[in-house]
Amino acid sequence: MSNVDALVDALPRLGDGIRVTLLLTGGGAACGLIVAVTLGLASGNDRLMVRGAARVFIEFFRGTSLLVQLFWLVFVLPQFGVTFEPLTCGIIALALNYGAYGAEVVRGSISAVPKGQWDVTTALNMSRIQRMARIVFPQAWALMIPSLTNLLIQLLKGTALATFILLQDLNYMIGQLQRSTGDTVFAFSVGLTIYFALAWLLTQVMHMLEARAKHRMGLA
Amino acid sequence: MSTRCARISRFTLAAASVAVLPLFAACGAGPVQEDVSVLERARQAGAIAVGFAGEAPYSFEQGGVLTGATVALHEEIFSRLGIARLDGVNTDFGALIPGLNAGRFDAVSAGMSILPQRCAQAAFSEPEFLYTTALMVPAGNPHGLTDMQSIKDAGVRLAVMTGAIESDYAAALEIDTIQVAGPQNGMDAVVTGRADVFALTGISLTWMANNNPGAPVEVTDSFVAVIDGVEQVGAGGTVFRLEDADLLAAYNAELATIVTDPERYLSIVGPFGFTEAERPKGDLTTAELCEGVG
Amino acid sequence: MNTLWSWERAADVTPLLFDSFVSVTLPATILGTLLAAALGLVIAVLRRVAPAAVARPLRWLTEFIRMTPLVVQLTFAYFLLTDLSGLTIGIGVLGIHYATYMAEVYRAGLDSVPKGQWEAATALSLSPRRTWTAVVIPQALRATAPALGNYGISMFKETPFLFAISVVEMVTRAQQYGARHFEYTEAITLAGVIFLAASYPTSLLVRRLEVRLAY
Repeated sequence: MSNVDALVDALPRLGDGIRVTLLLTGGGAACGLIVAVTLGLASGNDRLMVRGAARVFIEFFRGTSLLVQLFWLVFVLPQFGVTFEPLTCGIIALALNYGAYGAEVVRGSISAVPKGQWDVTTALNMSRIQRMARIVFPQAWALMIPSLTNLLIQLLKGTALATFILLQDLNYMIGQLQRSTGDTVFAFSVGLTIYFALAWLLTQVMHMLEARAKHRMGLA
Repeated sequence: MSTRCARISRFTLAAASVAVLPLFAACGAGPVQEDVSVLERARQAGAIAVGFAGEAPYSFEQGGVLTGATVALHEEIFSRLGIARLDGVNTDFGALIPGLNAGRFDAVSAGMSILPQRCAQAAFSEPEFLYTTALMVPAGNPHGLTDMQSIKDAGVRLAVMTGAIESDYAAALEIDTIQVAGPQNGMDAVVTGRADVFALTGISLTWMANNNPGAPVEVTDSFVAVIDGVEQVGAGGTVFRLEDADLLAAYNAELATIVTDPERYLSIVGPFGFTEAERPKGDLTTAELCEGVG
Repeated sequence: MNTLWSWERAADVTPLLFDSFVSVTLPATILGTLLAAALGLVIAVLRRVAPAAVARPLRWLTEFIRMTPLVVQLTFAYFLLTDLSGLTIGIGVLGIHYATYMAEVYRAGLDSVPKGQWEAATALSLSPRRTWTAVVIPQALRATAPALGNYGISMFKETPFLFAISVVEMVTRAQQYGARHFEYTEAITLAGVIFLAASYPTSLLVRRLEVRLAY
């Protein structure tokens, strides 16, 4: 059986693998964004308790390895009575880890919004939530997209860890392809190229989002 | 006007967070209800939740359907107990017993080896499979390996899976080993020459060899590892919580009718590569294994 | 029934974790970072001075490696280079992977060297070699130290990926202990603590360095 035949044969399974990888990426990114925004806003809060708590969270998840966090969710949590499915564990670990990194980006972008914008909201008597939701954050959003794109690509790369918890993602399927073709270079070249293509696609999507955000701000 | 807006916003936030709380409750595992026995509960529901670790050929998903030797066995036994459906819960092997005790599922369907440390944490059924060790070697078995001692004598390198019992055998005999993450990685090690032999249960190795027909490997005959003159007899079974005595008893009763009938046993688990060699002969009980036979 | 935390088990597993930390994690991180620093500089310089026929493919190769998962690259190399040990391959791949990040940092550093420096070097008839080694690189490097530090810390936290190529490092050791004793809590938590204890102070130091260099 030639390599191409084996590849064609493996396409459905590769497709399944890509699906799992995308689930992990999408889920991790969506939840990670929530984590990043929450922690990012909290770390700029007036109250020391809130700021301090956010800081601790951020440093904790940035300072420990993603694999340790993943293993903790998969092996240790069940011993405390909480068991998640492997896919959920993957998404949570990715979200917490990259969310913590994202928090810094969010915080930085929010503080980069011109002071004048904040002053205007006071003059217009806006509530704190209105101020953040309608004026400050949308502007910060346009600023934070490039850095978030980098984190998103890192998150995509991080999904390959799913192999450690025996999820059948793209990485796993590459191994299967290698075994069925016996051709290491072929299988891995195909696999890495798929990852590269996914990364490229995600980057393009983020560029589009950035263009749209800037357009809405009247900046582009 | 702004304060009214603020109040509404705050209220909405508070309401939203309260509404979200039940989601977290659903995420975690609830405590097992003490008042209704789990057997009764399963009968009423017509379904029982079983934990599995995706390990072929015991319990794994193929094409989205839960299948495998232990699954087949459970479908047979539980249907006779009035429970028609198995709901599989996929989790990592190491998280099976903790998940069971947390109430995430009511039985572990993975052919888990009956070991004293595990008996302390959960209740095993009577043996369902006898485990023997086998070796995966390059086609042609160049070193003529037959068992653990022969590996030691030949001075070759052995691949063992992290956390598997074979790594204990290797350590006891002081064999040069390389640790691999999973069964597939062990096979890769032999194929690429990083290891001369891979030791795992005969069932798992045979399954892998059959599923990778192109791989230049073969599986030796199964043997019982002997460490310090003591035979390492292994057997696997289904795991239940320590307090679910009635479920365990009902299960064992049905299991006995299958295990003592070679034809029936093989008709259920034969398709997954199990043979007469794996069928328990009745001379080994869970009580003995929990004490630490061998 | 097992208690939630046993100090006895914690004490049991700590020496094992430290052993892996010292014999695998630290060497892999240090050697990998050194390799990344050196190779990254080579890549950055090459991309500037080499003819387009070399520089363009090099750029694509660098992007490719940078944007694809380290774990997959590790497994690839492990399958391919069957004569090398897992640790050697681990250090090599970590080094190459992070070299692609460092190349970007060096590129920014090189770009930041003012044009005037280059012109002055030409005016002084310095050979290209002298220009690079005595004038440009030292200036470019100053700003890259914090980035190198950060990537070193990053690499440190990615050493557990070496498990995929049968290298028993600290987290694997913890998992092995947990699998054997059916109690993962102490082992994995302590592994996390060791990571935190090593990386947090280091990252504070790097941040201090960053502030100092920026004045």
